[in-house]
Amino acid sequence: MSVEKYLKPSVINQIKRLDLRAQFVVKGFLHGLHASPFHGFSVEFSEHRKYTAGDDLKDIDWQVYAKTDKYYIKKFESETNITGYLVMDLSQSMGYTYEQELNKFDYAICLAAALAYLMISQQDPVGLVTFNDRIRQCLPPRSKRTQLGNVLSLLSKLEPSGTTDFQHSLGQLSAMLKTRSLIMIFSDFLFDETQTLNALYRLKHGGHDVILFHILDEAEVSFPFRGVCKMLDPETNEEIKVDADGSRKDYLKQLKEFRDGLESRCRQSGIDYVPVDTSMQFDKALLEYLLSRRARG
Amino acid sequence: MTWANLAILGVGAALVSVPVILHFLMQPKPKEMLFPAMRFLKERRESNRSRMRIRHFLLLLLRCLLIGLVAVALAGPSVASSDFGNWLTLGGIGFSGLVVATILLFSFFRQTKNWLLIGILGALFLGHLIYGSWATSKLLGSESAQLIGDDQAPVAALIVIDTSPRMEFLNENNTGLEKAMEAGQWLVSQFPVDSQVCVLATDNDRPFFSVDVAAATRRIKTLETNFSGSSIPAALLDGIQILNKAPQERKEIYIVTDLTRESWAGENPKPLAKLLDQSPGTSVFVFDVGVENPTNMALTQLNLSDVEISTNGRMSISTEVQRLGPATQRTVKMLIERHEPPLPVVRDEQNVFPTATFDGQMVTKDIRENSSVPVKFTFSQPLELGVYHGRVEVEGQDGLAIDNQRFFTFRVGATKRALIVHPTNVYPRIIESLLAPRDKVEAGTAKYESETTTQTEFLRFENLSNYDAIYLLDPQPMAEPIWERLESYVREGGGLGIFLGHNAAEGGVADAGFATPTAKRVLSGTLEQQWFNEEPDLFLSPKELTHPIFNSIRGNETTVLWNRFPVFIHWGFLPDEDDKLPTQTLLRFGNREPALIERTIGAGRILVMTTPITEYSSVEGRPIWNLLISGNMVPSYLLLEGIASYLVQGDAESLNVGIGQIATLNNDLREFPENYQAFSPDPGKPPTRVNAVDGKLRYRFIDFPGHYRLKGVMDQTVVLRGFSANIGSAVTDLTRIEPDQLDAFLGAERYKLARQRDEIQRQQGATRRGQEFYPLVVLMMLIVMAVEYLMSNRFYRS
Repeated sequence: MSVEKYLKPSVINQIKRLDLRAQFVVKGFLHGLHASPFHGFSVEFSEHRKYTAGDDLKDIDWQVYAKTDKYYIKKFESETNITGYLVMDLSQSMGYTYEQELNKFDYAICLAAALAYLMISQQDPVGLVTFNDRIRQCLPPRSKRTQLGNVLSLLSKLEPSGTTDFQHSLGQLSAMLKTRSLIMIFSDFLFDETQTLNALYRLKHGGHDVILFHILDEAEVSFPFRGVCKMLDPETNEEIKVDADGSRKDYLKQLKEFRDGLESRCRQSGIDYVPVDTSMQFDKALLEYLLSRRARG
Repeated sequence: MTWANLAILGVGAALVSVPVILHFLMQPKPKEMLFPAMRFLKERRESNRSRMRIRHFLLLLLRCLLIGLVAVALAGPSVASSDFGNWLTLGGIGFSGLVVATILLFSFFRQTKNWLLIGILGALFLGHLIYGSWATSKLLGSESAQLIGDDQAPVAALIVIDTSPRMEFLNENNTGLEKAMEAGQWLVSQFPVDSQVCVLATDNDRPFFSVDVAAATRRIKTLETNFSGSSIPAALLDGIQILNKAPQERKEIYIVTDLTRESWAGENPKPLAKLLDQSPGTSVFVFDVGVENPTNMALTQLNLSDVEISTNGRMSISTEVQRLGPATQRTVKMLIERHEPPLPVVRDEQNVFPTATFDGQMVTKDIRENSSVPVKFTFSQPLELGVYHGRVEVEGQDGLAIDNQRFFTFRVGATKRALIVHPTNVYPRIIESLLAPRDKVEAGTAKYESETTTQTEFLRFENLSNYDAIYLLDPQPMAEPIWERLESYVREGGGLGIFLGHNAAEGGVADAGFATPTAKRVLSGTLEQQWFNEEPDLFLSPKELTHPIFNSIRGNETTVLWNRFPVFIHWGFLPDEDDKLPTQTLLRFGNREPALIERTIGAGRILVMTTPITEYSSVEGRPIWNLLISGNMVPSYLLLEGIASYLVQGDAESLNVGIGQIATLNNDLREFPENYQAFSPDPGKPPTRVNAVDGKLRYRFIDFPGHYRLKGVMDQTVVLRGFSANIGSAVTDLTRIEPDQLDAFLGAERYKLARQRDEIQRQQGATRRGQEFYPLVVLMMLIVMAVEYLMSNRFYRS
């Protein structure tokens, strides 16, 4: 049970090594699951063992029972490999936090690292792509154990900067991808909605599975400010003076409309949309990934 | 409106500019922060910005208002108390106008303008402005507004002190009058120097301004309970007129009373209310010295069965014991004084009255809460001729003692002699049994001594003056000399009762013997034709029962059913026009024809009834005239009893009178002396001299309840006479006046009601200095401060 605490961003922030962070997150996550979501899809038969009370009846191998008159349970291992891309938004806005332990980018890195760890342990090839106004780095997918080190190494060196051109960046990515892949995009999507959707549609049209991790800061979700504030956009340096109390209601309404709209369109296009904020535990994001993988299995 | 310190208002006006300057110079620096999700703020930026401006404007307005209110509070505004409500209304209008103006401004400066709304708001604002200006100018110019300010300016004060008997109510060892006198003296002592004071009691005294404060105080100290005084409204009407003539601008009226309803009863509230309306600058204070829930025991008016009885006569006295308050048990006692010559006398400047009494009668009664029980005493002891005084009293302590005693006087006189005259075809038994019932005659208690004779015999009677009353029952025609004798008899003081019937007819019309000049005078008119009514639907129809002949019927109206005693025939009557002889119709039939007519000739009385009271149902050979004495004879008996008593002038003497009335006693100089010493019930009041005039003794100064004794000497023998005076039952009614009734007299919101001196002082201060706005302004300041605090916290919270 103790490992589950590592699902909390505030706890994981105390661990400086990214590989350990990823390890702790995944272990904490897996420990918390009641039944393994791996079983039943995309795994390969490996051995039999005797049935014991409490085992799922559907796993009983009836052919063996017919032959031996004894109950045996089938055990599986991974059957197919999914090529996964972790696509990180590097823009300046991702470096924002108001009063959380992790900013949006740190949170995204932790999440990506955990997913990479999970995929490598599943022997799935995983690659890493970063972008802001264009694709900045690209680590091709590998399923070797060393790939995890490479991914984590690259992630740990990333710094958010510049503005975002999502459509252009994802256009480049789409052109790069040769095989059907699982694209996991980590971004705050604080740019033009149409641009976002166009790029996503293109990816989806290319036959890829897409999971959007919409990462916002806790302050962006709850708007906890009081009084008159002068707000500065980190990407455009635009500033406006607002009465936070008077604007909260409108802001939250707008944000909700944006998130609901994005989710609705993603759902229509078969894209998984995972809204998270930096105060949430990591398991939600990880579970979303696993469910997506299961659906594909 | 006056200001305690107008300069501060100017300073305040200058200081209001401070928050405006600060607002522009020291606007708080907004907190700067990064925020990537600004796109969601930008879409509503304009509306948020205007909202922020509005809030800043409101905050600025609140701060200016706060400073303004501080300045107003320190400047100390006050207005006339009577205008305070109007000023508050004006304030409400002002506030409402401000709200309308604010909405109007925002509507006007909005990007999307709703011209209809702007038009409506503009009209509303204009309406507010016009009404506000009109109301302000009216309030500033009101008379009462001119009088406030200096609370040490001399006043013209009218102090009306209730001196009714109810003020004798004892509570906490003080009577209401004592409290009122203390209050009055205190009021006089605290008037500003050079004030003029008029102390007016409800004793019918003329109002006047005392020469100085000391004289006013002395006047208050000499006040006494008054039993025949005026009501408070009547006193006020007199007092206000003199108050209005006073030169002082500030006029104040103080009414010191127990606020009992009776003090205001019987008066039309409109004249007083109108008079007060004409003096809007006059302040009215009501100082209540009464008791909210008084308890009292009282006796109602005594009801004597007879005021004159024979030496062996019997008399009953009935009354009611009334209780105001919780249930209790009390003993009621009846006492009759014995004669104790030579009392009453004056010894050591004190009147000494008889104290010995016949054996008293007592009865103990349980009286329920706020109810009454009847009490009846019967007295049948042999007495000598003369006048006797008695009293009925409730034993035990009581808040208001004055109504625990009732006094009565009765006379023991010689038996009255009556002559009953009847033709042989008329049976006089009804009158005989009424005047002298056999049992009473045998017991010696009959009121009358009757003698019966036929009309033929009667014509030979020489001296009629031996009889006090003569009854002519269905008389036959008589010659003019007989009528003249009868007229002479009446003129000398005799009583004549004539009951006309079939014997007066000759061939269906009145006999000429009833149309002689003297007969017309005696009968008070001319007999015309007989009125026939075949159906049994004509009855006696008494309308008003105020005449003494109805004394026995009065109070039993509901049990006397005249419609069971039809009249079939009666004489029509043409009244005599001789207006020198007082004549009145006392009773009519249902067809409005006269049934009983009264005429006074000289000292005597005549009663003429146009249908007989001797019609037994067994009459033969002629139609029956009426069924007045068939079946139940009680109504006719009661009527005849009244007639009999009236004919012998049993009502002529007022032995029991009310306070303020005039007592009149017959004083035949052949029987009584001409001069008397009159002793009032007050032992300290020296006796006065009363002389008989025209055979009557009249005593006018009845101002205290009790026995009034007249002592005269005739043929070296002391003659004692007298009468009793009582207060009316309502006089001691302690029921409090309802607020709306008081409002009707003094005007709602027109007067200040107080029970304590400090309340009066506070109200005086409010009236003289005006009603101060300070508490209200401070309250507004607190509200504005709270709102400002909340708003500024909301805007500038870090």
